[in-house]
Amino acid sequence: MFFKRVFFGGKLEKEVLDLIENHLEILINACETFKLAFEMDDTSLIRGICKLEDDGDRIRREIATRIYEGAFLPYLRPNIYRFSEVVDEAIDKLEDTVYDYLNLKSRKILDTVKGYILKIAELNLEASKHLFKAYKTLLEGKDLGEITTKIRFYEREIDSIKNMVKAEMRDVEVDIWEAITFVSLLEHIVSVSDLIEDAGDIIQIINVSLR
Amino acid sequence: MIEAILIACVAIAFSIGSNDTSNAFGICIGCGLLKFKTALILLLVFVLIGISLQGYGVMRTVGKELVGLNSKSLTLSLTVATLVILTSNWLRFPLSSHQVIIGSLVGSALALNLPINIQTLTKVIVSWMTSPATSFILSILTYRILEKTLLRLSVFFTERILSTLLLLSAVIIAYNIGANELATAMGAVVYSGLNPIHAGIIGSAFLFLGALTLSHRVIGTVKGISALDVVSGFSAQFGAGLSVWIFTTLGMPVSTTYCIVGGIAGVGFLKGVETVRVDLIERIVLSWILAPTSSFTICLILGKVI
Repeated sequence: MFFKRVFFGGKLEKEVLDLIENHLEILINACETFKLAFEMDDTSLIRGICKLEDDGDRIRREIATRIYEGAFLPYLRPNIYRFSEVVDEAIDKLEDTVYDYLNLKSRKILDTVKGYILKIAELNLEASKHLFKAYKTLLEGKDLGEITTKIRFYEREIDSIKNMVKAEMRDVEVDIWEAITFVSLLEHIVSVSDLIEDAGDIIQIINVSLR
Repeated sequence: MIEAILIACVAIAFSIGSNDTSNAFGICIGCGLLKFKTALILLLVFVLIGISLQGYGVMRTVGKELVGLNSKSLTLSLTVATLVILTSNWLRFPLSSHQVIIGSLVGSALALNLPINIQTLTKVIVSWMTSPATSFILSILTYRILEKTLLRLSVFFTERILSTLLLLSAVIIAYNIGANELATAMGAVVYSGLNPIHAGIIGSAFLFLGALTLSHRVIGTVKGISALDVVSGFSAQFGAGLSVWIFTTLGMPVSTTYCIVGGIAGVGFLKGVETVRVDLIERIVLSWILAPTSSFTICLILGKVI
């Protein structure tokens, strides 16, 4: 086991690193799909995110299995698995946003704040792309500071948009269930960037965990 | 008479196997880098290489230069040493086999009016004090070098290299177990007439048996120490390995365990003095004093009485 790992390049480790890359690509894909589908109000396209969520779950389980089989030193394992969990959670939140979106009967609030939601979706997409960039930078051993700062910036931007949305939706008269469903949609879509920010922090921790 | 001495020596070799395997491979097994069986095979191979290539220096110091020996003193000192080592293991307060053996030999020699080479004895005692200090310094140097080189690279590349370095330091310790610890145990019996090659093979076999049957308990304990980060752990182990190897080359019997403690104290010192556990240091100092003095005193009394 050990000699293979040292002399043949750590097959399990390479598999985990490839799986993480796939996982991040799925996150970007899901963010992009949501943005496009929301922009075009395309319900069949937006349902594709549920399939991406399934793929994300599968990848997280595969990462767990490889780690259980002995990939990486114990000092790295918890953070690597935690990273995949957080990325998976971000994809889950996008899926939850999709269900909220599909459950909205009236589009009164949505039409009022559509521009804001679209902006949040765009910023989520940017944040996910930067998370991918942060991961690639981690592999290269370069400085992560600038990239993770950008991720934090997107998250703050989204938080301020959320407050604006809440302020504007007060003026729209709708059914209570519509309001609840919309608030749920808002919370879910906003939490995607929170989770991406958490994942960025974990990358920073992984980067210093052997130091 | 040689049979009785040989039995005592193999019992000590068995004890070294059961206690000190964790010094070499505990971290590698704890990290999941090596399976227990693979570690045992590596231990056997490198112990044999160690005792074959460099064991003669320590054997000569213990078996020829330190004290004058006769069959009575040998039987007494090695029997007492074996009993002290086994009892301390049973009480879960393991003592350094080197110190117990040296204490016994000197105590027996004094009781039976055999010559004691004060110069060699002084060198041995100075080695016991300077070897952990050497390890302390070497561990700090190792940590600093890693900090300036390896730790600046990508984390996953660093992880791969560290895995290899951990195996390297484990192998150095296994080599030292053969060249120093086993050589200390077998030194007296070799200078009583047993062929050194036979002594090396018999000693290694019993050390292997000790590791096979009892070492998993100690390795289980070492797993609990993995709170020490991997770079610090490696630096401490590697510094200790180098330190023991230097003293082995000088023919001095020194304790790997104390050197590892010296190494851990070194990296602890780098990371802040408050990280060093005072209660543990007290226990180690107690063991350091108790090991040679208890065996010395018992042999001195028994030597006078018998």
